[in-house]
Amino acid sequence: MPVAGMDIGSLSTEVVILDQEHKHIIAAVILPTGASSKTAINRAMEEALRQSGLSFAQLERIVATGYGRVSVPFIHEKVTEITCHGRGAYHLDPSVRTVIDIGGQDSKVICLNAQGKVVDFLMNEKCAAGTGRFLEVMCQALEVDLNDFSRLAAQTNKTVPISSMCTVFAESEVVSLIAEGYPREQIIRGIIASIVERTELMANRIGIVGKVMMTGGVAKNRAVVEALQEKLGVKIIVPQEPQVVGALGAALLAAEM
Amino acid sequence: MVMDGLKAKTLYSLGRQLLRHPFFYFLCQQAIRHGLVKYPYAARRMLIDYGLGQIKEAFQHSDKLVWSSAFFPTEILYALGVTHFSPEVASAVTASLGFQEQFLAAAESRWWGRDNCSFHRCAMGGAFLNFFPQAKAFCASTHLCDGAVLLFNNLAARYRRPFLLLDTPLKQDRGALNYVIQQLRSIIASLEEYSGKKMQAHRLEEAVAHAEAARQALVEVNRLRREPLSPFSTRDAVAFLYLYFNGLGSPVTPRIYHTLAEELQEKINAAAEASLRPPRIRLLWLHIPPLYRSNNNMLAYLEAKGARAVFEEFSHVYWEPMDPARPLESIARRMLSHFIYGPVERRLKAIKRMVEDLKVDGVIHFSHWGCRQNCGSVKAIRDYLKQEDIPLLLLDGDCIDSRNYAFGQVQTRIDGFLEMLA
Repeated sequence: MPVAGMDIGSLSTEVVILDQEHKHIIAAVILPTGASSKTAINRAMEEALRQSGLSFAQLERIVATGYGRVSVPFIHEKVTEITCHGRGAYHLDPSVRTVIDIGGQDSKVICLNAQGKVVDFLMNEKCAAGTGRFLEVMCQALEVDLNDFSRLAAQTNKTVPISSMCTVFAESEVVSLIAEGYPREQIIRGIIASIVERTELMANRIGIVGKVMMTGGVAKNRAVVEALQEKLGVKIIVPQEPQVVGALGAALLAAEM
Repeated sequence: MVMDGLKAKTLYSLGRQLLRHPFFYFLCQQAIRHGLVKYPYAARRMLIDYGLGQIKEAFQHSDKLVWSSAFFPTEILYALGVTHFSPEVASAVTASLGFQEQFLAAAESRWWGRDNCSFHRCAMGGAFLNFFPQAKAFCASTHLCDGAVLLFNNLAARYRRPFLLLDTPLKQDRGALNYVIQQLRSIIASLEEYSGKKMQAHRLEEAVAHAEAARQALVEVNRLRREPLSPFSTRDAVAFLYLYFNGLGSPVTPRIYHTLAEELQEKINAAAEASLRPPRIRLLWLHIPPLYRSNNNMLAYLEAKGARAVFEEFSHVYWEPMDPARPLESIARRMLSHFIYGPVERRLKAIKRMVEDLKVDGVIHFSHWGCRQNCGSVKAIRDYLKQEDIPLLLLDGDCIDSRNYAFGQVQTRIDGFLEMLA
């Protein structure tokens, strides 16, 4: 029977449904979580069921992950995003040994062994700096659409450094830089450098091993991935839809239970 | 509004007066002795009774009260017959009762920044608010905790009392030993002068004999804690650290440890008879766990998930047997041999021994905010445990200050770690 995985994050909620043989994705949904994770969970599941043409009763098992995993009423199991991103990444490419996941409110580096088991992980300190939320706040300050970030960053090779570690202070700093007349393309490069610096620090702490995959919403930002590649000196592979890797991992774990 | 404010102020003032009155602690002792408060271990009841007795004495006899830092050797204080009070332990008790925020706020509003260790910040706040008994002298040692030296220096200046510093060298050679012994002699002489009490040689020998009896009893407790069916976890053990910090030299301490060992043996036997199962995952806790009240206690959460912190490094008996015939030398040796002081290799060796003895599945290192000594060794511990193939979870947090505690963040880290160990 088909199985589902849900990833309820602070910014977005994803659902993946695998077919009867648990080999193919028959539905993949990404919705903003908004103020109520319960509403987002229901809406995302409804949409995934609509896409797959299944009814809820036809799902054999559901595994939830992400910070909102504790508030899903209809799941069979809760698993952390650490294990789920590891499982999802390994499924997409079994030669991956390091997963960098930058989500809405946290970032993590996960080490896998040859069997795809998590053997070590490190998460960001208790702060949203360097995460998707950080990027979102900076976009608001710059009045720039997140989708235009990479394109604008490519328009210059100059970078205005952002020195503040805290998201709130960094936002004020960006506002001041705009007021001082710095071009927003240069500020964007500074923001990217700031995210990359935090991720690099974490990656160096844990030690990058083998092939690296980046997952999570921030992996969709080409400029961030390129800057991180350059900084770490390794090639980073990004799956076609990095934002659903956690939900995919959850669905795979549901299939294995 | 005005009336409400006045009422709150009056209640606060009355509450403080009550907490400063020895009779309050006498009443608490009576309540405990008459079984009005239930404890899972009789040893725990003895411990609370003993602690209440000490604080009662401190308020009753502040004319011979000494404030001592957490790692200062209490044997000499027991031998001198002076009462003593540890502000760091007071912070721990304050947090466990849920009053820490007021004390922390009092310190912070007087420029004690949040980067300072909260054990010290909370203690300073308690002093600012005049909740603690006043001392004749302040004694601090330099080993393990550099913040304590500054705290005690500051307190001594505030109360205009003498500050006695026990400088503990990093080396463990004969020169270092003599240096510590010499200082101990000098501190004893100063305390004799301030307290007006002369120390008799046999009292020091007795105090060291008690400390040695406590060491032996603690070794037995720790042996029993290695048993797979031992129900005694870090959650239970935290309160008993009071004895390690405050009770070496007292005749009560070995009695409490003996009672605990007997009770543990009984509980282990009962668990075996009832065919109880041991915890699924056994963990070693490095540093001290959060002490504040919380509905989401980390150690309780671990247990709910089938894991258990079976031991905490501060209960590790690292020091050699003490010889009452050479009391000062024995004390100095214990201080110099502290496994968390000096080269990090000492701590790594002790961790390895604990991991092997306790047969744990993993280690949790709690990085208490502001503790340079503890947080500074994280990389070495991580590298070492990785090399030994022992899983490690690093948790950042605070033992006293609950304001930065976000359970969701900790939960994900703990769950991820347990999934990794499964």
